[in-house]
Amino acid sequence: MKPVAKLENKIKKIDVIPDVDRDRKTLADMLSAQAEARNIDRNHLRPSAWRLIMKNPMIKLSMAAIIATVVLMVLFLSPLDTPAYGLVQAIEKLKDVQTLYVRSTQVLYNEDDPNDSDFKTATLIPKECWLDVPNLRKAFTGWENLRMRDGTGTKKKTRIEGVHLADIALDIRHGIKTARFNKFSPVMRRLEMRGSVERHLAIDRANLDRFTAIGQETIDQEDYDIWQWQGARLHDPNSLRKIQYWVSRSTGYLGKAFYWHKDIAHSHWQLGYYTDEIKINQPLDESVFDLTVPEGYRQRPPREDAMLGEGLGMGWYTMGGARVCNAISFTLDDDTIIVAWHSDELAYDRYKDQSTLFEDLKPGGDLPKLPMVISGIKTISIEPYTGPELRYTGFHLAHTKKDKWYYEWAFYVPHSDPIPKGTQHVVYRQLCDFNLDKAQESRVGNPLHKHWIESSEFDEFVVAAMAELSDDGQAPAHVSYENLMHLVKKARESMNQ
Amino acid sequence: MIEDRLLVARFKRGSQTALQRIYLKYRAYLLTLATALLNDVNTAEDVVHDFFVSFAKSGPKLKLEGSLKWFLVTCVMNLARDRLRVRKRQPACLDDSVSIPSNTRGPISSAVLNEEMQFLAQALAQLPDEQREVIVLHTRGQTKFKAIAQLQKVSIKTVQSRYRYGLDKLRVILNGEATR
Repeated sequence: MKPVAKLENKIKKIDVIPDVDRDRKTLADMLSAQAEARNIDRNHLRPSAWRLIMKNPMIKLSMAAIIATVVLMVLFLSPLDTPAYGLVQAIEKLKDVQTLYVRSTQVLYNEDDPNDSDFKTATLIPKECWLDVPNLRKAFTGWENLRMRDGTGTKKKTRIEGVHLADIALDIRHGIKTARFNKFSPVMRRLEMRGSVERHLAIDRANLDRFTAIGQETIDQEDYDIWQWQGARLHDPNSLRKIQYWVSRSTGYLGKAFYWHKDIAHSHWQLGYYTDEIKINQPLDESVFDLTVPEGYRQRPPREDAMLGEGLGMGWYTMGGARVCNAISFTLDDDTIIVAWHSDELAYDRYKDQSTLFEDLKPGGDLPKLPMVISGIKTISIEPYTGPELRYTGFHLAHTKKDKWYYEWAFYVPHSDPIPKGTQHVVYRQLCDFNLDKAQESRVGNPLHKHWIESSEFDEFVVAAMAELSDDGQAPAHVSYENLMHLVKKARESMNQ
Repeated sequence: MIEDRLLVARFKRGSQTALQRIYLKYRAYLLTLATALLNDVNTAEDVVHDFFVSFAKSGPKLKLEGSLKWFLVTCVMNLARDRLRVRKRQPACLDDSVSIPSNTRGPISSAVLNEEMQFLAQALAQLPDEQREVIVLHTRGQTKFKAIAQLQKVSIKTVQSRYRYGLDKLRVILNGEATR
């Protein structure tokens, strides 16, 4: 090869690989410049188009006629294609709901139809619910699986109903003709009613911004926009979900909701749950809140003997030689969990003084050496529904004393910060250690339900619950959201070390 | 180049995807040309960045009759030449005297040009700008002399002479490096 050709070949091989960060910056700057230019162009064009129309009398007249026709069509002939309310807006409006009536149906599929595997025989289970939010009242009908006492061990679906007022609850089990009265803790009642509207409408908040308006429907002279989302279940691309919400064009309230599912292997969507009647802020039938027990039903206990169970009504249970009461738990918006519990040793007097166990405890320090200690928490991982398992470590926050029992208020910090995206769980399990005379290995304890609260609600729920579980009706003075966050920060630092 | 025509048409209608596609298709090529001309990767990246940002703004106003590739090359080379002119007007700072292409960008970027290519780039840097531009555009940019002549606003013969003289000089510089 000639020297010149050799040199040319060398120059041809010069190659510069773009730097990734610069590349990203250029792309971003370029796209924003394009978007900006488009906006400027639109603004710039508007007056000149207008001037063009106004300049020519014929065009002006024609435009006036067109505008008038369009306005008339909009007003009298056809509904607008654009949704009146965004779905997120519609769900936000649920926060203002005062009364709610919901009729839903669960579709339970039984055996596969041997003639067509895409279709299954189904049982329809109706449910109704009435909510009176400001007065903390709820009435409902539903069903439960009851094991038959006929020696076969088979289960039967039987009706249940309940009337829960601000301070007392009546639960009726029609399958065994039994009625039960209980008293309510004020904090627990507020917690239960908070978010109850969304809960009873089974709102899927995780995907709200992915819904699209797919059409309109008029039901009983009311126009609705239909919003739909369909996609894979979390962590399970082989299983699909489809959700449809009907949003009223006049009020922005939900009118219907349908939930479908299918496996990718199947060709048909299966209806899993639907709410076909929703009445919002309409007067409720007062008779549904009546506490009368049907004739012939046993009352266990009757209304006059109704009582509030220990630990804000949660009662107690035994585990590994200890008697345990889980009073309440909260999950804060940074995923810190607060749990209140007490425990005593079965082998000793229940009312044995435990004050010495709390003497030297410091907020953010070790937990008290109670007979059973909830030293940690883990999420219940049910793949593909919940995402990966998370674990939390417990630290002392405060203690209160109510009716001879000492309650430990501990906070639990997740090992992962932030928690993995897409993690969804509504139930936790306790990780328990024991300080008993007889050695007892650590165990995974009972489930804890997730009560998620916002930072602004800390006093309304956490501080109020502490006060309710104190003989003097006061929460410990050092407990505040800010102090807790400070302790959480220090706990995270110590965990990282 | 039907794809380029489609990309341009979609870009003029405001398509972000088309703009991204144009960028991703030609960025490395333009960066290489600009680097060879400027003898400095950082400045070359600035040139490519600035060009694409102003290109993005042009949208529907873009008037393009020839090939997209040649349009991009012309614009980037013009910008690069502007930078060269500015650089010449500025008093040399200490860094300029020891400036080595791509070495200022840390260990990852220093691998951009291997050692042999760095010698070549340094040798190219010693050529007059016009000669370097012709060599880079013709060999690396695979641009015809006629097009380069239009770009430099000179005759084809002048471009060919610049190419020949440039290569000769480059050979001398590189042989000097080799025998040193």
